[in-house]
Amino acid sequence: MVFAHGYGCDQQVWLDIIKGFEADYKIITFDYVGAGQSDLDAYSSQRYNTLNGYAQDILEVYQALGLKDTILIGHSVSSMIGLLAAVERPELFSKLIFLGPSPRYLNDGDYFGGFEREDLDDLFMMMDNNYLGWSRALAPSIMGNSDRPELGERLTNNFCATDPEIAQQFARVTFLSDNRADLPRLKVPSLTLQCSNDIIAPVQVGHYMHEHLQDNTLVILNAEGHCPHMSAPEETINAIKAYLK
Amino acid sequence: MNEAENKAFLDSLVDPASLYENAPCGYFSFTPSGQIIKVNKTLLDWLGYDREQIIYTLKFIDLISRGGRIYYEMFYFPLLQLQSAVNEINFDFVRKDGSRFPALINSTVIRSDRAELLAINATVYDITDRKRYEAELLEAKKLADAERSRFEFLSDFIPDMIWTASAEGKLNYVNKRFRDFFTLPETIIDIANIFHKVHARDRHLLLSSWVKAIRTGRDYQTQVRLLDGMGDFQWYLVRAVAFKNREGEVIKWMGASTNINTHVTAIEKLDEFISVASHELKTPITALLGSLQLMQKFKDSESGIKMMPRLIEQSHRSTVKINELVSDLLNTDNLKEGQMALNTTRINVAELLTASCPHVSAEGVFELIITCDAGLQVIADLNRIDQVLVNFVNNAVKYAPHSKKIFLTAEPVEDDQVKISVRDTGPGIPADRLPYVFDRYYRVNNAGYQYSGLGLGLYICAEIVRKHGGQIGVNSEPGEGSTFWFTLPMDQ
Repeated sequence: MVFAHGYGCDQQVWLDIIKGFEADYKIITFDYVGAGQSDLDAYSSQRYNTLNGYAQDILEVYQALGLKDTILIGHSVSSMIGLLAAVERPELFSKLIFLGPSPRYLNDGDYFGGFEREDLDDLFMMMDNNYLGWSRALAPSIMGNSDRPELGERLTNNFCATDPEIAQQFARVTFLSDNRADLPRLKVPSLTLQCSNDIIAPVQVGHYMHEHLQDNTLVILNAEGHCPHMSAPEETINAIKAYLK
Repeated sequence: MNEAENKAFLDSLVDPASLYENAPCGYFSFTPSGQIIKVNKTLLDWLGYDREQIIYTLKFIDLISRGGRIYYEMFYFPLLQLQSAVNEINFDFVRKDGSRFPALINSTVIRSDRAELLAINATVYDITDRKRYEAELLEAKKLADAERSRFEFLSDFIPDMIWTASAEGKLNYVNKRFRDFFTLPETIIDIANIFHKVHARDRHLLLSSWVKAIRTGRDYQTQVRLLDGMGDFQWYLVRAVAFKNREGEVIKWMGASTNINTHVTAIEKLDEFISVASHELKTPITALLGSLQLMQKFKDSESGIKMMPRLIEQSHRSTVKINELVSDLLNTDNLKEGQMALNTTRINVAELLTASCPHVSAEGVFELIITCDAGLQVIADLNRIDQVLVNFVNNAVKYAPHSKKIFLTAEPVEDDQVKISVRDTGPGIPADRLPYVFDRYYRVNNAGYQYSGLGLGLYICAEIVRKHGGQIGVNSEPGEGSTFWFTLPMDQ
């Protein structure tokens, strides 16, 4: 069972969930390049300019560990990253589990993704603000120390997105991606877990996923918010177990 | 009342509810689903809501911008799950009227025995002012950066070397010209490299005057020789002024180094010229004074009267010499100001050559041999051109006294020019001095021969010929003699 963390996080987010499965499955968790403890030198803004670059991360983990016959659980944007990986190498995956997925975050004509472009600009600005807090980064840059301030100090709050520029690019790639056309290409059976009150991935998006995927099961959780694996780990574990049974 | 009772009494006077409500920052608490369960008056005032409009009605994400909501779900909430406290997260709050204000939020979490998240307690600090300062500071920084790059652009453009130094005198910026001159790499200012190119005899001066300027804060100025790319030392004027703050403390030094080699050598030449000119004038004036004194002495004696014609002749010669020297000086001044006017007429070159220099032919020491086509004509200022010829011939007499024949030749050359040459068979001019003979104040420094004059003659000749649109030059082989020549446009 392979767990792929979502945007803005790293593999720590799975702590509560894997407790429910480690007795029955071999568990693999990992950090994408640019997240958590990954080697930032391996980051290439060109490779990670599309979600496909992250899909290659998954396939490289599979290759390195010789994984096959796996269940891949992806949270948030990792649902789509996992889907891309499974479209490319379906034989490696027996089932996919999508936790709060969205193939398209922006509203587009009749399609309801939940966000307008200006919402995202607002988010990007917020990210800047929270990375470039006065005390940590702006002051030294104004005082003329052009050397980059210590990232470790700056990012005490942002345990996952280690480098602000990588985080910014990942945010753009995530929120501006459109993977609706990839949904029908998935041959692997899948489960969509959608929360009942998630502004990032609203229930409408869950229904859209379900309608456009082959062999998909949709479950709406009682849990609210975008992180049921953290806020309601038991319900999440039970829903996954019920599907796998 | 005993002490414990007193403390209990005093404690009872503290009103936590009032402190909570009226704190200068906002307080609120919410459940993991975001449901707000308590909020203080300060935050209510900031938001413009009544208490009952929020409590158990709105969620935290209802009070923040839409971008903030994404941030809440993707960053903030996962952080709350993993940490016991999350500090200094910047959210934009949205007031009831739709307006926004930026705030920093510090949050602590309350967990159950099983470590389940139960509630979040948060403090809110309005950072509107700070944001404004930040924006202004950023703007100021942008402006300063733009100014800086403008300065660097300009300073790279200037032919002088420009540099700045810290108050302690350490170089911290040099322009492109400076880097190129001292072959410094892009980022390093290597003092050893710079010092290496300062003339060994100027290094002490450069350093000691710099140290003195730094100690006193007074403007810095010195002249040193620097080694240029061609391997020659050139004179530079090194100057620096101190930038001072309002308290009069030096903040930095702004410096410039200018090549003043031409200037310095010109002054050296002028000094030499003045000494030569004084000397030259002094000789005939002394002779004249001598003649006059003798006339004064002998004017009443019979035998003295006989000496008068010779003394008068001597006085006359001295006066003519003085007159020549002064004319040369005046001519130079006119030339310098570009005031030479030409009075041109049609001139038969053969007649010009024949009539020129009667003083030389009359003396009978030197023979002028003239070769010229009878029909050659030029349009020129007769007196000026004659002046050039006389100068050439006089030079031949002066510098080649043993060359008894002087050849004056005129011939048509290409481009419809007439070339007029004056050749002697004297010692010639060394090749390394040839390029300078037409320079102002230049005198062929040939110690083996007597010479006199200001070194202006050939300079004036060159100016006259140039003014006529002709060329002037000299060919010389040491031991073979020299040929001074000039060309004039032919009249057809």
